[in-house]
Amino acid sequence: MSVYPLFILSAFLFSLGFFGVILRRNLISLFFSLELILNSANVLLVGFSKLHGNPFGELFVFFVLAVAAAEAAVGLAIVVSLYRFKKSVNSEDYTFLRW
Amino acid sequence: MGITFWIASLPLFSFLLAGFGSLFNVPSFKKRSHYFGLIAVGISLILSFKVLLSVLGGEVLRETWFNWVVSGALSANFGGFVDSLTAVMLVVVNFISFLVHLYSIGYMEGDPGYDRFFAYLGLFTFSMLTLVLSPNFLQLFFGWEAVGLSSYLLIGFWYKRKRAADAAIKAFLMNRVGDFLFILGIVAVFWLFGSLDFDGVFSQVSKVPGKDLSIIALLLLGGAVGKSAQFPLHTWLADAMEGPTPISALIHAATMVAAGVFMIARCWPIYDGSSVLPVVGVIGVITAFGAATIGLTQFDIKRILAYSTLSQLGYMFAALGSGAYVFAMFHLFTHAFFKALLFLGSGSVIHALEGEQDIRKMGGLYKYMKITTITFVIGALALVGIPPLAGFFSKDKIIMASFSNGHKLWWLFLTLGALLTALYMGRLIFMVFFGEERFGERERRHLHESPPVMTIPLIVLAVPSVLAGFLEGWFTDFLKRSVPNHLLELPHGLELTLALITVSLALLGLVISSLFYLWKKISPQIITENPLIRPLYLVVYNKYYFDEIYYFLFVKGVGFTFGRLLSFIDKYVIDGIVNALAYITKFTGEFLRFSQTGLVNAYVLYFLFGVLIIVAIIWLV
Repeated sequence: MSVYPLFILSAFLFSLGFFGVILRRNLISLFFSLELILNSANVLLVGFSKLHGNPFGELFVFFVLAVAAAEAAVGLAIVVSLYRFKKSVNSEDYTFLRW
Repeated sequence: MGITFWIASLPLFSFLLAGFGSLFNVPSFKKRSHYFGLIAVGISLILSFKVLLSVLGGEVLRETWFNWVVSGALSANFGGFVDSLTAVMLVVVNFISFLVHLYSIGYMEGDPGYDRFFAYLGLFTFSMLTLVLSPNFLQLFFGWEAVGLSSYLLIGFWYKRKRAADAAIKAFLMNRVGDFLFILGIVAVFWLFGSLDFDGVFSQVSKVPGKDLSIIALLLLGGAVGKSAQFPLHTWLADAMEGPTPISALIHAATMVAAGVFMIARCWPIYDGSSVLPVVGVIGVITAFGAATIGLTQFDIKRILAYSTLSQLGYMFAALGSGAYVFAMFHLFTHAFFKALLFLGSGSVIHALEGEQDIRKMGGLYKYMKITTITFVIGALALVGIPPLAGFFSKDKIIMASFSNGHKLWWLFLTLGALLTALYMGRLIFMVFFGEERFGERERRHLHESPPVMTIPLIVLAVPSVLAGFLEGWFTDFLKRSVPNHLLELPHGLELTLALITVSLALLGLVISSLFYLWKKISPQIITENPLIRPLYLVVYNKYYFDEIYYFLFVKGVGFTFGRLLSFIDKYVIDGIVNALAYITKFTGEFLRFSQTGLVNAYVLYFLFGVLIIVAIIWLV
């Protein structure tokens, strides 16, 4: 099986996530887009692991997933507390740290 | 350590003790501050005589006090190096300094800065002793600068008078000009010889090309010209008269102005190897003659003596320039005595007249102050060069040396200078001590002979002023051990003729001045008011406008014009650059801050741009 479709998938996921981060204003969606970027890296790890025949890459993905789960919990908790703060999850409402 | 260390450092202790009393205002020190100086310099004088005796016995002292600077190849010690040249200087400096200390007890009595004065005297003596004892150029420079500093402090002793403070600054700045050249000379010495020790340098002189030696000699000469107040850096010495009179005696006789002559005599191997000696001589002749003419026109008793010092120093430089180093030192030796005598005598007159210095307001003082008159006249005759007084021997030798070494033009001007010396000294004596009394009733009641503490130094100084000339043979032989005396022998008859010319011109000068000022056969106004001579008189009276020229060139020219230019550059170019940088930063910041939207998404967008730019850079490079 060729690994190149995996690379293309990774690039696609990364771009999708990146544009999501730039364009979406909903904090939850923003957060999901971030997860997409993270997982694009996971896909790339798997792809290179296959390319080089080295199982450590795939193994590493599991660790990343575990960390990502924890990070997601923290991130969502932040979003919840932001919501409590201003009754909004729109990122345009959180622009106090500007000029 | 050793004997030379104590000779130099005892006056320093006197300075520290008196200075301590002055600084912390200790009343019990104030009344006694002269004891420190008298005892310290007295012991130092005795030790100097001891050193002189041991040097007479053929010894040359080399002592190291302590190591001062070690840096790479540069190594310099503080130490004492006493050959016959230094031994003589030690005795002269300490002798004059001791008498000046003694005299100052009377002269400075009741002055609020009494203790400060004695502290400075100690510092001055210490500086000069360090200078003459130096075994290397670095200590010489230390003493050189210390002498300059103490002269600054003493000329500006009455610092509340603006004229005194200005004169002190002027003296210091004029000296700086010379000192700058001097330090360049020392750097050049180190560069060429790789050593600063006199022994090390002078033993290698023959290996260095004459052109390099000439450069060094010229730079060192610059320092000597500044310190010894030779043309064209002479203007500070007359203004230095603003200091207390004992200081003038000290500066003129032993400590300050002698340093230049001493230094050139000390560095004779460099000067002999170079082709600078004629320059030294020409400077000396110009000063000797020019200063004598100025002295003829002045009315301030101390200024006349100051110009006579300038003139006599010119003679010494002329002697150095014709290669007769020993005769220069001999004139320095005799001149120290009678010039100290003259200054102390003038101080006695000023003291009696409550600070009056204008000789037009004196006259007939011999009735009131016998001792001062007699000693002053002895000093004046010694200066004029009437045999058998001291000045005749030394000055005649210098004039003869310039003739025999082939500098006929120098000889002419130096001989004329001897005539002028007689004229201005005769004028001074007749106007101050003889003739009608031109002072007011108030001064007459105050008039008195000075106290013994002031007249004793005068009497003591009168003795060597009369007798020092007879030491000539001994002095010449003694100094020839360390300094050469290049002299072409003249036929005995010619030598006698030259001496006769000098003496008769000196006598003629005295007669002419007595015609003018004693017997009043001719009025000086005939000359000064004569429309043909008056412009010339005014030029001389105004000291050839040197002060004005320097004021125009350096204060106005360099100071104002150049200063304005620099100030303009500083304000608009340097400050402009700095301010522009600040404004650019500020405006950039003002503009860029709008990119800080606070919106997370925007920051990510900037991040993307950043990454793209980096990628583009990597791609392209």
